[in-house]
Amino acid sequence: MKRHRLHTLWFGWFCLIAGGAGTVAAAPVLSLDPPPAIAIGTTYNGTTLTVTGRIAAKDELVVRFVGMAQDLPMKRKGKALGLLWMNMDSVTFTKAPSVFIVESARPLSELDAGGADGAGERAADLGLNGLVRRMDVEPETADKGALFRELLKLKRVEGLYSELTGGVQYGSEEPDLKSFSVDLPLPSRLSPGSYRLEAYAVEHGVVVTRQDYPVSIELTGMARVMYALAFDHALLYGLLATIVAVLGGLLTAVLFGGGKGAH
Amino acid sequence: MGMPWHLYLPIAGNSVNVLLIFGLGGVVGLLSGIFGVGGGFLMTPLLIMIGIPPTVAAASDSNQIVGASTSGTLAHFRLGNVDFKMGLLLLVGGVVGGTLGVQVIKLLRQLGNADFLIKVTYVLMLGFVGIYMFQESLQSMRRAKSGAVSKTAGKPSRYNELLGKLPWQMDFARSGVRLSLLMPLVLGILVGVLAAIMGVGGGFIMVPVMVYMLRMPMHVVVGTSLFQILFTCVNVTIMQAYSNHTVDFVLALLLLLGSTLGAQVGVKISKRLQGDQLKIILASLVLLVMVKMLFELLLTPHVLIAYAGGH
Repeated sequence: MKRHRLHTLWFGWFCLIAGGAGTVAAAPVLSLDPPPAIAIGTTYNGTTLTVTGRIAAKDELVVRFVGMAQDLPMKRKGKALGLLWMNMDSVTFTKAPSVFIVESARPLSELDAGGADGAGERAADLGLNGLVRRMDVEPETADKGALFRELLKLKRVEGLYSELTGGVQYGSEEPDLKSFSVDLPLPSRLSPGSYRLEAYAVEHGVVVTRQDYPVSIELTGMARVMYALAFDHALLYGLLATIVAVLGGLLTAVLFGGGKGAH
Repeated sequence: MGMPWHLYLPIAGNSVNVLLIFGLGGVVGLLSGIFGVGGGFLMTPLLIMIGIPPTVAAASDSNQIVGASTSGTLAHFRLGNVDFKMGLLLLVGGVVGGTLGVQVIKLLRQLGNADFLIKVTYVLMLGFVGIYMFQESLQSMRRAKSGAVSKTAGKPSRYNELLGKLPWQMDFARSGVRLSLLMPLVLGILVGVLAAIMGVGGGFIMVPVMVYMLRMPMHVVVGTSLFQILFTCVNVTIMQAYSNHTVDFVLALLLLLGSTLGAQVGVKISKRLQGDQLKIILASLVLLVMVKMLFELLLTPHVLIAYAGGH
């Protein structure tokens, strides 16, 4: 009897594992190729980051380029004496990424139309609305929504936050897989530092899997030398900047008015 | 095609169009050569508009003014328009005043609503200085036209009497005035305090002070003001680079290329204009800036938040 019970147990385990393996085989597929390195040189003026990989044929792709989350101290503008607009109280947005660029084949709201209520992140939350929902503002104020709207307006104007469609190209590869290529436009207003490339596979409006890569952006050439000098040898940098300016001024004055020096 | 028209500014963290910055520098240099003002009132907001962080815009502009004012000072020196003695005294006063002003602004901020007070004072002051200068130069031009040659402007002589009674009188040969040593020192302190509180270079306040309170001829005012601005901006550039890392030298260099040239052209234009003409144009410029600031205060801004740290 005992042995029989043991056999049943073994069989049960086998079924469980086999069943598990079955779901693994049908698991959502997403493979992202490592992104190319990005360097900011003297002539950098924004760039296009091309992201490639493969995704399950039935899934939709959402790609994000996200900067480090930081606290953003700002001033709220208001009317003093009910008449004059000026900077009033201080507000600090917390968990605000320096850059946030989302790209998908169709608008996120359309992807979300699948309407599945299952667990997991919704496609619509991958965009700016979701970002704002995860951010906080200090001090806690009643018109949080209005403040976030203003922040998004400002960041959009600066080209640092955007939600784009149309940059995703799908190709065909295998029956169940499709290849993708995404052109992510990176802004000219970009600082060196650590960023993250994120790819999401969306099925019926819900994220089924994701893959990330860290992206490190570094300065090269003269830009790097200048930056290092300004931060590591600040006094020397300040003195040099002054001396060059004085010499430049003198040189121009001499060249320009050289012929008729009064003294 | 091959020539890159954009350069990346490592400290500002953004790229800019080379020609645009060169042109901006040229225009502001021109103004400084003609009127003896630094031009920060114009340059800093324009740089912010094209995406340079406010603190970097102001600091790099100081760096640029060092070049433009060197170029302008030398050109004015050749024309005999720089009163070094007066300039140095004003400068000493300005440094003391600037240090004092920084403390005053700390106190104001603690009291709260400092920004409101500063902005309103700035607008009122620009308005007052602009209107006074405009009226005075207009009257003076009319007088000149009608043939009445009056050497001193029509100010009550009680002021002259008071000036004469002060101790430590000395001659300022270049300006052709005899004044107490205290006058430029005290006025320098006053302008230094105001400039520090308002976060401006002070050229706008200094020029009228030199014209009306020190009674210096307009052309010597322009040259001497540039000489003084040069030293103020050397100080600001080094301090900002050292303690805040906000000087973008690439940006300053691009601006400099335009502004040193602009300053030279400005000096040539300044030479052709009469003192009263210079004053009335500067007065119009001051009033224009005032109107612009007033509009900014009255019209609803496009975005209702701003980065902390700017003006």
